[in-house]
Amino acid sequence: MRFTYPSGRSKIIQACALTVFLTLTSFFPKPPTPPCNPFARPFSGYTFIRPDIINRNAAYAPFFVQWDDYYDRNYFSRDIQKEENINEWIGRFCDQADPKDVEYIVYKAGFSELASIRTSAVDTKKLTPLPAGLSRNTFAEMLALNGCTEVIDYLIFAKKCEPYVVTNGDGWTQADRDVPTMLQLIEEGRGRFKDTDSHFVKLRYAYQIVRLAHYAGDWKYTVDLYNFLLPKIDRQKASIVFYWMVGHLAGALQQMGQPAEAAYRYSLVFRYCPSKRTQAFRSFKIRNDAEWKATLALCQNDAERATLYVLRAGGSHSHAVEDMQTIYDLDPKNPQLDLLLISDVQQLEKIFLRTRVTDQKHGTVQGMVQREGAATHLLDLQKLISRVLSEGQAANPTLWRALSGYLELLAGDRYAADKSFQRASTLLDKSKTDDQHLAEQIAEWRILMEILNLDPSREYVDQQAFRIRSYEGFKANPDFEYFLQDWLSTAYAAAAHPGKAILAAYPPSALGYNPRLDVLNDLLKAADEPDPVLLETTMEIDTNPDQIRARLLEMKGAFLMSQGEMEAALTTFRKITPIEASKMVRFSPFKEVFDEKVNRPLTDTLLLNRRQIVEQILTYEFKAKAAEAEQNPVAAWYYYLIGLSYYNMSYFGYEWEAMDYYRSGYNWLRLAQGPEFPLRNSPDGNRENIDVSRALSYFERALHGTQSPELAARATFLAARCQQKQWFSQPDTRYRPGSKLIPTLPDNYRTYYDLLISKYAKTEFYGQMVKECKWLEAYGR
Amino acid sequence: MEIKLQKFRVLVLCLGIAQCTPPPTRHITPAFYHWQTTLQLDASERVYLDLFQCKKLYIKILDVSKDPASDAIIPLSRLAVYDTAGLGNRILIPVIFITNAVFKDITAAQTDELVAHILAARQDVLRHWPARSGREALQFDCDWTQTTRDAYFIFLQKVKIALPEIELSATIRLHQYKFPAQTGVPPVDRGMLMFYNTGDIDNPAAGNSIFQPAEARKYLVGAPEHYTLPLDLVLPVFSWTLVYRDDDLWKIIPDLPPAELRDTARFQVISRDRFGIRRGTFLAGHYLRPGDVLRQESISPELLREAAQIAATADLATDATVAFFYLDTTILRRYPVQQLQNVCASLTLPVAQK
Repeated sequence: MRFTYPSGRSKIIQACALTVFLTLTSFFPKPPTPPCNPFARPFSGYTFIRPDIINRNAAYAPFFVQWDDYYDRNYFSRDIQKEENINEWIGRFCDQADPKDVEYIVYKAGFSELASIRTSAVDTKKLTPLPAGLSRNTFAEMLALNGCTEVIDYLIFAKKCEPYVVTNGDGWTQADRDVPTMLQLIEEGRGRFKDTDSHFVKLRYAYQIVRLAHYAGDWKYTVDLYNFLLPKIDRQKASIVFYWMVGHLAGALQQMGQPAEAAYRYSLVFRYCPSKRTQAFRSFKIRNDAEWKATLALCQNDAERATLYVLRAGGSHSHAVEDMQTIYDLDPKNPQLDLLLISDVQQLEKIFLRTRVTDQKHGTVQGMVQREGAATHLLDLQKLISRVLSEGQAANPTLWRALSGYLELLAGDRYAADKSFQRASTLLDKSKTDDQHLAEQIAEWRILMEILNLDPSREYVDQQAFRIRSYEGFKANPDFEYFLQDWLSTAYAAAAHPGKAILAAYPPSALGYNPRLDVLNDLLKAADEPDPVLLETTMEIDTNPDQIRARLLEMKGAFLMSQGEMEAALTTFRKITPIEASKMVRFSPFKEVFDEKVNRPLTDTLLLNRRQIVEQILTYEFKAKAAEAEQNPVAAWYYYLIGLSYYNMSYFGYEWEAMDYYRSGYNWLRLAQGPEFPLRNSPDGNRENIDVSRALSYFERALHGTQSPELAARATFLAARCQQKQWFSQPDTRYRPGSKLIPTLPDNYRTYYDLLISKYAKTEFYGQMVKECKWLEAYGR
Repeated sequence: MEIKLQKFRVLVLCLGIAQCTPPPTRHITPAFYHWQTTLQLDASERVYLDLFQCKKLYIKILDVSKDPASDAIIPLSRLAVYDTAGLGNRILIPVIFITNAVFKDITAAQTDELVAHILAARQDVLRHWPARSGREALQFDCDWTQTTRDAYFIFLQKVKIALPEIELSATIRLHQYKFPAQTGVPPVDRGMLMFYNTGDIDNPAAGNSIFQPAEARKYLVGAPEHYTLPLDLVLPVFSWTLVYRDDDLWKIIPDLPPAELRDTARFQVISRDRFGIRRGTFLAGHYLRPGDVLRQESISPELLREAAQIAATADLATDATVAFFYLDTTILRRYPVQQLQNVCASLTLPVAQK
């Protein structure tokens, strides 16, 4: 005999058992599957705000609002720097050049190609053709025809600079900067700057020079060059290249220990230069209040000051009410206020749309605590919205009105929310795309309001939920289905329907992980209703009610068996109709199997369903007591059989499934933490029947009642095994699952091993066991 | 049967006698971790290391992570070597931190590529180090899990194949030490047992997340008697301030001097180590708002001593390196040299005498 613990093979058995269980519970349909599972990504909360309500090109949107990868796809995936630069070149040439041609010349053309354009450009008679590869390039043609040698010389210079400012390793390795060459290029650039007439080109030379100095690591030289070159450029026409240069200046100032000067310039870049906005946002840094004041003092006007507050709010990602109020005071029409407002509302919806069930599913216990703190935040936000709306200053009042309704919905004031949605809707101009998006948004919030209005204490709530699920808007947002499940489940639990609460939010298999009597009774009550809506309609069950009732009764009976309540279990099983009873699964728990396996080793001729098992146990108990009264030693045999069945139907036995619907082999590794173990997708975890005290008590009764040394040896051996499992399940156990070492049992857990060794070593049973059981053999030594 | 039982008891007695033999004394090599992104030891750090007779430095040279947008494995925080003064006479061990996410769903080709990148990065950094230093050993720091274990271990094997002559080591978290059967033992030459981060950093109500003796003991109770790698030890000497917003961990501010929080106009003392925010204020580059809660965590000299006492009962190597995490001027002010020397000395004692 060898002791075998949960292994790959037994996992297969468990998988089979699970399949059986799922087959048994197949009368419970799966909840409707939404189009895509929001939990495929890490769950941070439900959201019902659509990105479309803000123009996706809104200047700072990606920095304040979060819609998964929306902005990664629509914003950050573009090379805005290149786009802006190309547009400036096109504008410089009266919008005549094709963007692709400009891109080729500015970013891709080699030295030889640029040199040949220059050759054509200097040919005043225009007899030198462009090379074949550029013959159709509109931008090259323009440069050549107009004799733009300053531009071509600049492009050649820029190309020379490029390797020194771009090549800096692949991130894993870092190439050394060639500072001497960079300094030479700066000198060359200064000379060219001086000799250039076009301020458009001068600005670009200045940029190249300042950039070279910055990347050469000479901060002071960078600042000096900026201050020297910039006043010499006529900047009447705005250019993004200026802000690129300011970005390098800010970087140098930061390195020189002038944080306020640097932060102020980064704020300018952030405000005016989309292509460097991300870098500016990341580089903007205020370390303390003194730096903040110094930076504010550098601002030239309220709009610049408002930008600083926008950046401060963006850095903290939420709770921006204070900043929003200041920005509103400084610049009431500031469009960034919309973004800050939505950013805050996004935070709040994640808190307020979290239920107890959401926390259960996603493992956070702080949801409700957050909600208390967020209430003040929500009120502050509502006050601000109210002020902005009453003063009529908002840049986008309809959006503010609609968001006001959404906040009221989150606050639980559904009447006020309804009124706000109505007022916002009347302000909409359906011919405008933005307003169409807002109308769709309000429709989505109205669906949410319907869900929040569901009240399980009223009739037909399940039909209402079914109708809500049919809405197209509901199907379009995958968060709706999961939120509805959580909300309904929480509401059912509050309305004293623990069974419905589980079925509303979890798969039916969750009923078997850690069965509860109140849950099963609630569902049995629901099954007895003339119109069991939740089980049949809402959960789309189309099956025989007797079958539903039978499976619930069987589950309840199995649970009562695990509690040792055999009479109650029998009463429960007797309620199953004969037809359904004939379909019950069968087991064989009375067989002597000394091998520690958790699967039935052989097909037994005596297969009993759960009701028959209980009847058998009660019959044995009756016979045992009768025999005991008559001092007939056969009583010991009956007690032995009862003990055997209890052990075999425990977590450690091969017929565990008779009293449990789900067994996890992993729990063997953490028995001491039981009997309830954490399990994903189960509100109450997973309970394993690891208590073998009932089995032990019957083995003890058999031992004390028998006169046969062989039966006594058997009962003692199994009692020893029970003690061993009890020790494995103790919090202070030193047993290490998986260890190849024979565990040493403490004295109080080895009394029956000692008894077996000392008293029954000469029995035939002992002789067999000691050959097969390594542990017994070791203890015997 | 009685004879058999007697034999059993004699065996136990023999084992008891065997245990009376004094275990070998540990030889401790003191060391420090350098975890900043720029390498430039200042004068006070150099003096401290000299006085402490610290001949060994573990220097992080690279963070490797996964870009959530592109799913690409990317290098982060590559070490910039500004000054090598004070490094020449010490053993320098490059350390590479890799996030666990890197090994999730990594392909064989990506593993090969990662190995190549890391070897190139190591080589690239070493050329800025004093001649011949950093070439004898390499350490990887990764909090691998059961799902990434195989990928991480294959990666380590490939590094070992590429650099067969060097001593390869890996950090071992306490849970990995306690459950080697479940988490596996990395295929390296040595392990570095990280004896900190025992608490719950995410829970605003929890105690010191850097180190709690009771939590640390739990990891040692029930751990296998012998870990299959020779183990070095790293003890915490760092401090940080955790910022909680809406009861969620929002920011970690490293090494904030306690004096920063003494301004009662801005900060409200909630308890000895907890502070509220009276009005919006900038702190260490973060704008804090009323409602935020700060938790200051550090390791007092007494707690460090206790950590060492508990760690001494772990299965450390007889030639263990005891490293302190991490080297920083403000941190070193809290720990006189003598204090750390005493900690190291306490670890040289045989376990039975503790």
